[in-house]
Amino acid sequence: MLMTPGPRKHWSGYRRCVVPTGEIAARYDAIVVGAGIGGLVCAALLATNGYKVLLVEQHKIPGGLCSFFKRKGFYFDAGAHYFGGLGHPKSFVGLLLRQLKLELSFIPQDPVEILHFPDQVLELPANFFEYVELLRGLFPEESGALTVFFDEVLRVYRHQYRGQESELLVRYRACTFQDMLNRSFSSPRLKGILGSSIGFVGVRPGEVSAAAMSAMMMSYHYDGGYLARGGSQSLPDSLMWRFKELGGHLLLDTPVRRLIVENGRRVAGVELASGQKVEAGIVVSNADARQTFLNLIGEQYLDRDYLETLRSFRDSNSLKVLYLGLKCDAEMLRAVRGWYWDSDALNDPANQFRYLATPSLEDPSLPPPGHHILTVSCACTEPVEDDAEMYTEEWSRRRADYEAETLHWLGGIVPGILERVVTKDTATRRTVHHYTANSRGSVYGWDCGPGQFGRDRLGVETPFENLFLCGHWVEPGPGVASVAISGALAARRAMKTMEHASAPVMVEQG
Amino acid sequence: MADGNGRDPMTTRAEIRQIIADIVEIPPEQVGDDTSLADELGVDSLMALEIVATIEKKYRVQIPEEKLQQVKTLNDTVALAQEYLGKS
Repeated sequence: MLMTPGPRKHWSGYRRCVVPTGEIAARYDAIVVGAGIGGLVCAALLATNGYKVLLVEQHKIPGGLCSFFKRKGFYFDAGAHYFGGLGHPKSFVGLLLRQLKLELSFIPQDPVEILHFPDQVLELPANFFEYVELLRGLFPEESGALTVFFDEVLRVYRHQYRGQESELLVRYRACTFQDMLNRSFSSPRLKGILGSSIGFVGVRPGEVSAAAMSAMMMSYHYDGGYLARGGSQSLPDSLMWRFKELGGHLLLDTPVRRLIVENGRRVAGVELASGQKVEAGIVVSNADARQTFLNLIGEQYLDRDYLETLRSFRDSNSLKVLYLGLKCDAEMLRAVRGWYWDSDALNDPANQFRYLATPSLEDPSLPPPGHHILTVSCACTEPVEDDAEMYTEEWSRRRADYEAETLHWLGGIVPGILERVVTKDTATRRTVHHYTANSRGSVYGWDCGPGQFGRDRLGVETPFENLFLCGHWVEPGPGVASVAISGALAARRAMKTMEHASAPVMVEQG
Repeated sequence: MADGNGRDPMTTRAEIRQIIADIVEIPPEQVGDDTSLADELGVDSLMALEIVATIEKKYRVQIPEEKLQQVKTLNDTVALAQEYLGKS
């Protein structure tokens, strides 16, 4: 995009980025709680517009689910690693990032996805029109229906990121993606292909709203899929450094104990875990929305309706990820990435997707020389009662079972790979909870079923006149592109509230 | 009649008319050759960008962003596209 940073140029500098305790001001124009991508974008936009901003993160590094860890010289993307639309200079979110002048570059992926069914492997071209042509060639009898279908999903995608409410969005938020497929097509394989990337929204075609799936699909198929050069941590890091350059104050490894409520309708600032109180004109929370209100504010300050809404949302699934560091050449991993399904019956609970990523084929800076990285992800659907259940021995045993089972499966997919493993690790709900403090380790905020996506999620505005939300609990929804947009929406509303006339740094919307 | 690229200019015009119509969400007949996209069809800067981005994908060309100002009518947009189609 702009300049290409050297690999992990920033990754040792977190301590240098943090504001020394003695320099924390008594008052800021804005305090942003949580340095996930939504919080970082919001904080950077506010700082760009000249506001004095404090950004407070409980974890040791910024990024939330878009983060990394290091084992034996391998840099693994912990969670989010493949971004729809982000690297396209003319996509909505690509524009937003460009306006922030980040030191960041992206690697486009072509094919955008590879689908692996037991009897067929399909490489989906990155160019949207070629992708549709490929499907037309494979399913000539569905050619007309494909045109109508893609016209609709593309319109949904555009309405969604333009931030306009429309009849179309209302209709597609209310029905499932499977309904949409069934109305459009008869071929089970075609429906299987179109639903195959469902893992990126967390629920099956029969459970996900058609709007959520359309928006996610088109961000990859229309605006392209991208890796961040240097690993996914490069994205939060570049935002963090830009924020610091703009004079923003950052605190890492600093939990917020509570938001201080004033007159029942305003927040006056935050109290840090140390007991230190910091005042603010406005507060933006990028933390888990339910925790923001129930733990950081307290339900005594909330009216019954809002509390009811908050409690009615269903949490999304979590993920299980096996991370492997391998001593092997690129040839061994060629074309193994992508989605693996046992059959076209994507709604069958026994048919569990697996998603393989091979980021080092594109970015050799991630592993040591002569080595490669492979990750295997799947949905973590086992329910848990509460956060404590993830920290039991039983959970550790399940984690070990998952690891063994996945390794066994992988041995059948990539012959000889198990002898090449240099290091391995496994993440589950517990890991996600550790990184993000999201309730039960959910990875997409609320699940994206009908009634829980886009405008049906929480808005960035809250019952408190100077408290705003961003992240995947609010509109437009989950995924790095969407939470970046939520950060921009929150910044825009916050700036309106602060009554400074300066125009928000956002794409003009008419 | 084909242009230097082997592409029929009338087809290109019809395709770009359809691209604009899809983005603005109106029937293609309403996109006249000299209809003002901004004043008559409500095309804002984001939609203009969407139009150019779609032309880029469809014809596999790169159009510099400063050319966005040229997207004023269908005629202008077709001329802009032709300029880059010839180069590919």
